[in-house]
Amino acid sequence: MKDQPPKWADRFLAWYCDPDLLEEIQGDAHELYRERLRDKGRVIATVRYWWDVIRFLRTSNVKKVNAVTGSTYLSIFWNLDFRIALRNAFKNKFTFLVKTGGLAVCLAFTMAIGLFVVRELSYDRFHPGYRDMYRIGSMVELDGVVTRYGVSPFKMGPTLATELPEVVGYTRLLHLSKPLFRKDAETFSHTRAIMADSNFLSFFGYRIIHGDKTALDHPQMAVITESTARLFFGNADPIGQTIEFYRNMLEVGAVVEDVSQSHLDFDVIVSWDTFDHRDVWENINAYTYVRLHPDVSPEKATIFIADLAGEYLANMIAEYNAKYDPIIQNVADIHLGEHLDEDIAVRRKASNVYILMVVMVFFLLIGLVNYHNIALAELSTQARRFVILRIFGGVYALPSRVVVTDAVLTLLTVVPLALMLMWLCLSLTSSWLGVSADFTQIGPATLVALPAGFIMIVILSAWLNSWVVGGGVRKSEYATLINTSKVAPARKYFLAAQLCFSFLMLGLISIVIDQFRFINSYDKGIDHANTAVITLPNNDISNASVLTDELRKLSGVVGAEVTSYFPAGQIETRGVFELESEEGMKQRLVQYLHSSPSFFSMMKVKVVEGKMFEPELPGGPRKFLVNQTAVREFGWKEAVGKKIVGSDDGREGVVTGVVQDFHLGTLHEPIEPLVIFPANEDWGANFVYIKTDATHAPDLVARMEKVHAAVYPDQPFELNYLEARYESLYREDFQIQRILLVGLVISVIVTCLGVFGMSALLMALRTREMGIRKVVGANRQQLFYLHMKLFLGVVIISMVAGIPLIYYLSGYWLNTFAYRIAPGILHSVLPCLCIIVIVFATAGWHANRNALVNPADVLKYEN
Amino acid sequence: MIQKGGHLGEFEELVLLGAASLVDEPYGVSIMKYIQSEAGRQVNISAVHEVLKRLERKGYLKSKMGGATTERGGRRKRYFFLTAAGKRTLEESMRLKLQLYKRVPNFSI
Repeated sequence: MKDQPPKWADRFLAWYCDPDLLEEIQGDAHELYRERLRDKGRVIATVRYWWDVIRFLRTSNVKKVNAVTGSTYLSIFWNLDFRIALRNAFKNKFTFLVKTGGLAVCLAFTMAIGLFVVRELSYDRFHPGYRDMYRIGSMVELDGVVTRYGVSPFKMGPTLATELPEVVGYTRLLHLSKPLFRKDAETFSHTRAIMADSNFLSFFGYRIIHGDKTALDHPQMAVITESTARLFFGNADPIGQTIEFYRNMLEVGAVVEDVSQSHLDFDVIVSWDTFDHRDVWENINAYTYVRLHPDVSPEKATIFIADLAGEYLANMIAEYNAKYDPIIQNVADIHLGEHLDEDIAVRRKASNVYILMVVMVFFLLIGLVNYHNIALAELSTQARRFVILRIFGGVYALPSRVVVTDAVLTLLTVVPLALMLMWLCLSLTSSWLGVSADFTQIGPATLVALPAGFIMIVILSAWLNSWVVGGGVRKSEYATLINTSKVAPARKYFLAAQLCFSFLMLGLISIVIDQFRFINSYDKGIDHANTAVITLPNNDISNASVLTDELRKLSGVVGAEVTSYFPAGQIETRGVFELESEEGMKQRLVQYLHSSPSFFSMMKVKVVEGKMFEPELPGGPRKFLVNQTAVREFGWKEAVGKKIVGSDDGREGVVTGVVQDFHLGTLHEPIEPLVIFPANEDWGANFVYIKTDATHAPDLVARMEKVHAAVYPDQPFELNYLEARYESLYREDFQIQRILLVGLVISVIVTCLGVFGMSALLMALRTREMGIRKVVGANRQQLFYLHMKLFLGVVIISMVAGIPLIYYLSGYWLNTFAYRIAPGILHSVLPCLCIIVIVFATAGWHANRNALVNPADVLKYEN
Repeated sequence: MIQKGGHLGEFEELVLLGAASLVDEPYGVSIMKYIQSEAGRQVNISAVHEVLKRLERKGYLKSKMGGATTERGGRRKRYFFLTAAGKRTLEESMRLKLQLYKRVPNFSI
């Protein structure tokens, strides 16, 4: 017994091996084993035996399909069907490539976008019980003007929690603008910070890595994110370390995971009691979050909150003659939700996400349509194959089985290919497209994609199969298959869908490009070029004046002025003013801006009426400017001389001039009425705008830094460029454009392939027909036209369907702009021409080949 | 002329020569040992089997079962004998090689 070869290896061999070959294979293996046992010893003999058994595992040795008992485990993959499918794929390599390649590319693109969309849709879902967590905003109506804010009264949170049983928990936070952290000699100015109530960490689901939830209970405490900890303290343990924040020493109490997929984006949380707060209802500057009882609907809660707020704010409401209503938003809805004023949430326009979802679905459909179009056409050319298979293959070559195995083969090729493509593209283009992929989601994505894809393909193939063959190749269907002049309507519509989609993409891209051109060339009323901006650390006007004076002395600097506005840099832009009107002084919430007098001339904003204000004399009447929209909205016929009273200081002033409307923000927002007044000690300056010569010495920035360091020795020097800033405001739109571009390229490629493939198969079907026609007397042009006829019909269908779709879909995106182009005729004509060119190039090539066919060659053989 | 697919690969030729030389017992293990001793190449038994099957398919060998031993647990061996076609192929291949080698200058064959 001892010199028997290893039992399990032997059993394994006996199990997989074809019984006809087993005797000789096993015999040889045993013989070798005995020899090695003699010469080399037991261990070597055993190892080599196992190795031989493994090496014997080849397709030619493996068990074949047993005609009587049915297939065994191993042979399922190697039975007749799969081989046939493989053989077919290799024989018609091009068709196979087109089919699966097109599907793989579309699938990859769809999945890539899908990952992004899924990520965007699931913001803030990691908070436990997020369905009951809401943020309360404020809707304020002042003299008929309604403004919706993201902030709410300071006292609202705690009051709601104590007085309303429906509210089971709350937290609040404050936005900290321009946070500056200092550790030893280093200054950190790029961190984002919020100030949060002690229950912040218990309320939200941000994962705590070190420390615990009590970290915000005491004043002078901070909670930081992982990467911020590394930034501040390197690899040292951050807990217990201190960092300086505006002359406060904060102690780090806890570290949380880096924030992603949340509408709140912060690096540091400072505990609430570190600063004193004006903790009253009238201070509407906090962000309040509440947790409702699960049985309470948000609508009901809104009513309770509104009543409560009405009580506490009664004085303020009466004084300003205003209306106040709470706005309630579920935390998971904030990211894609409506735009609110003074909102620090990380937001994305929901319409953009929906556009992407539509693109996704379209792409998937196009990939599938392409695949089945070609598969359908391919099957039609192979009716003979089925007949022969039937004869020789018996029960194993049922056409249905062939189609299904074809589908399995496709799936096995497509899915890994698509996954690979997607991973490749995402890693290469994540920065370009602005799509950050969460690779941890690829696992579940694959698990979903695989069975879904399999089911889809199998179902569609089964449908195809029943359409094509119907349980047996009957004579009439056979006739239909080879009936070349009538093309099944299904095929036509499939092809039309493909063309329509490309048409759509072409149209949308041309509209997007046009709109961007419009944005660039639109006169924004203000000159952004060559302007650098420095953020001032405080509102102190005298320091700012010193800085601007010094900056003006530098050569290469054309002007330096202060102002209160920087695109997307300021949260608070509206204030209450009393304006003169027919009925006396009326209160209104208006956008405002304060700046030095020469600011507007430096930025080339024209004064259309009256004049610019001169530097103010203390004690004199306040001088105001308004913009043209303000004149219109306030109902003034003559603006100069009208009275305005600022709410905070009650000083009366007069309008001295009207400036031309200029765009403060993107062209998404309409221009609003604007009140402008000079920057002074009360209303300081927040930003310094520096206009430089277009061609200035390269060391200008260094010189500016020196000047800055002289006036603000403790502050880091940071220069922003106005033009770049404006461009970054359009970030989302650029993303859309890029995604559409990629989509366009892919859809054109897939469509070309699809049309080409279809055309090739069609040509294969019709060579005999063309030969006969030629013999009977048709000339080249007629044959060309015959082949193209099918495609031209399809093109027209796709255009007719596509044109209204272009206008409808582009409307979604264009409507997000207050200033936009109207999609015109050109946007349909251009895609039409492109589609015609594509079809002519691809199908025309075959039409040409067909037309040149030599009748003698094709009519030699019977079909 | 040898038709398409009929040309001998290098290893195939080696195995065929082995089968042709071993007059008495040309089967898997013996051919494998022959190659090892004559050509100095270590080959796996499964590779030899595969080539033998291929050569049989091509018609250069014909196989027969026989020769059971106790070492093999009573299992028979499959012998592969050279066919006329196989002999012809070998001869032609050798002739061609010699012809070409003779044309190379400074070769001592």
